[in-house]
Amino acid sequence: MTPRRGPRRATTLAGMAIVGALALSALLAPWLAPGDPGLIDPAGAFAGSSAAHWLGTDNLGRDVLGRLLLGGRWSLGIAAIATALVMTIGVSVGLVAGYAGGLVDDVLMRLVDALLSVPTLLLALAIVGTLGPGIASLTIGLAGIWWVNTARVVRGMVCSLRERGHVQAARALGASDARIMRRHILPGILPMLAVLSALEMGELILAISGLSFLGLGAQPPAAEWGAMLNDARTYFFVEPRLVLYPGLAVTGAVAGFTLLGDGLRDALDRQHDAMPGRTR
Amino acid sequence: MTLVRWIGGRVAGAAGVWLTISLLAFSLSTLAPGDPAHLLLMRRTGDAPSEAEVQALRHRLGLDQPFATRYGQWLSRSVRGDFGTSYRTGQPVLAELAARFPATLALALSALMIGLLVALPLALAAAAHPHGTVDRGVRLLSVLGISLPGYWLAYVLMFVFALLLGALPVSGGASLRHLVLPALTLGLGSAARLTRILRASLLEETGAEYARTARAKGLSAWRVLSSHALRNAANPLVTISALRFGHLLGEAVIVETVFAWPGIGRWMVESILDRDYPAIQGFVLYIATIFVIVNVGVDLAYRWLDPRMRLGGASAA
Repeated sequence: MTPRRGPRRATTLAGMAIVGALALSALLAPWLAPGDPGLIDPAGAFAGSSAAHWLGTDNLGRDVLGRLLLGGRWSLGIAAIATALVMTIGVSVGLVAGYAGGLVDDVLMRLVDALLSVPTLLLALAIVGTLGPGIASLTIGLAGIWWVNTARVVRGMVCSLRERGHVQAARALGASDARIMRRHILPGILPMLAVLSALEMGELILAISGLSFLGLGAQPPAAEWGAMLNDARTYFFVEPRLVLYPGLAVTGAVAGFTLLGDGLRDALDRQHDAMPGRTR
Repeated sequence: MTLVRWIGGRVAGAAGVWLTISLLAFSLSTLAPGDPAHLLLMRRTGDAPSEAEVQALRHRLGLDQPFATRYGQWLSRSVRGDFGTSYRTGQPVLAELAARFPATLALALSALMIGLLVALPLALAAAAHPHGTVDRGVRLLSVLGISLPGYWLAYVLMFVFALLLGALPVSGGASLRHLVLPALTLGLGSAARLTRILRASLLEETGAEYARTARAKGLSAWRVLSSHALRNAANPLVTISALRFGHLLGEAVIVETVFAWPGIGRWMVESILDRDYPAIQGFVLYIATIFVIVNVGVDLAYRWLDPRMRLGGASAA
């Protein structure tokens, strides 16, 4: 590997700054928003930027900035829940497969291989479609498929950790499986889980807004970014900026999490490369 | 390992994957809220059916059979090419899919071409001077490209090419002119992802022993990159392209809907919004079938491209 230097730390910081700013604005949305973002004012529809409405108003005269801020709650909130589910399922399956080995491992990994061989988004779409549109089925559909990647990565790490000296020693000393997992395996994979969570979060924000855009996720009047875009596309030829803003919000959020994940991974790689006895 | 045995092993593995997906696709039917027989009768007559009517239809459709029996019957029909009948159109699902797949294939392949044409030069330029200005620029661009939602990029392109320049049609049709914007939308998103992966695998190669030897012998860094590293990175490129093709089929669902491109993605969205369960199941099975075939094809291509695979078996991946 080529040595990595300065700029990577800058990316991590940029990612952290974006993610932090978004999280903060989503949390504080009700206080940051100028006025009530849900307030419908047909007389003031399609207004341009002004002191009262920094980003103008939409087709129903609602404040666009306020809805974008509120949308962060929806988009990031759903993505955070989905990511938590994905990591929980993925880590559990990966731990069990990697630690148990044998038949359990075979069966679980066959399932993972099968799921990975078909485009993830299409399978999620099929589940969401069968359950019916809505935020709950969107979250279940995505989490029900998205965990496979995490499971495979975690299994790989557990397999190699299992053979390490300190784990073998703990086993020789009579430590129980549960204790070995908790004390010796989980700490070893935690840094990688942080990387995976950040990257999955980015992917899930994209998927969630995409499915909401198709009308399968958050339903109006929820200000979820994808749903906002779906609302706005009817007026695209009249008011293209209504399509512009939610798209920029999604792009910024995904870029933030991707930069953060990339930066953390590089930091992790550097640490590994610096470990004694490691040849690459 | 002989070639025949190797191919046999791959085909058996592919069949296992296909069976797993088929079981998942069929299990979807148990997830659907409500009784399918009830739903079907509601669709036909428009008002609530009597309990006797529902029971009669359940029996006729075999819905009163145990899950395993129903799965077995469904599977044996599917294998013979009967994917069921669409609730929405009353047409056989397989025929509907087969009629629309060429449009999606054309879209996905042109997007993949655009993606590779953009990604190759960018990745080479970036890998020529790792961490230099060009590399940093390319990396920033690719992160941006990854973060752009496809449906949004679609509207941006529509705005520039159709509204500002008035050069291209924005929706419908199956002509080459109609293909440009959706293919560009998917292609640019793919380019960003391909650039990231390709740059990484080129850097991996230029850091390898053989590359160091070549440079020590006096070859220019560019020469090592463009002829030696690129050739060795061709292998992952095949896998990545196949994977990308798969993701493109997924992303096509959204882009086809935006541009009203007459492919299977738009059909799937319409089916979902209309709760056409046989269509949804058939779609999953259809995609799984294509995928399993593509994956076996990629394995064969790999073996042909990389002599190490012929000697060492699967370990050299």
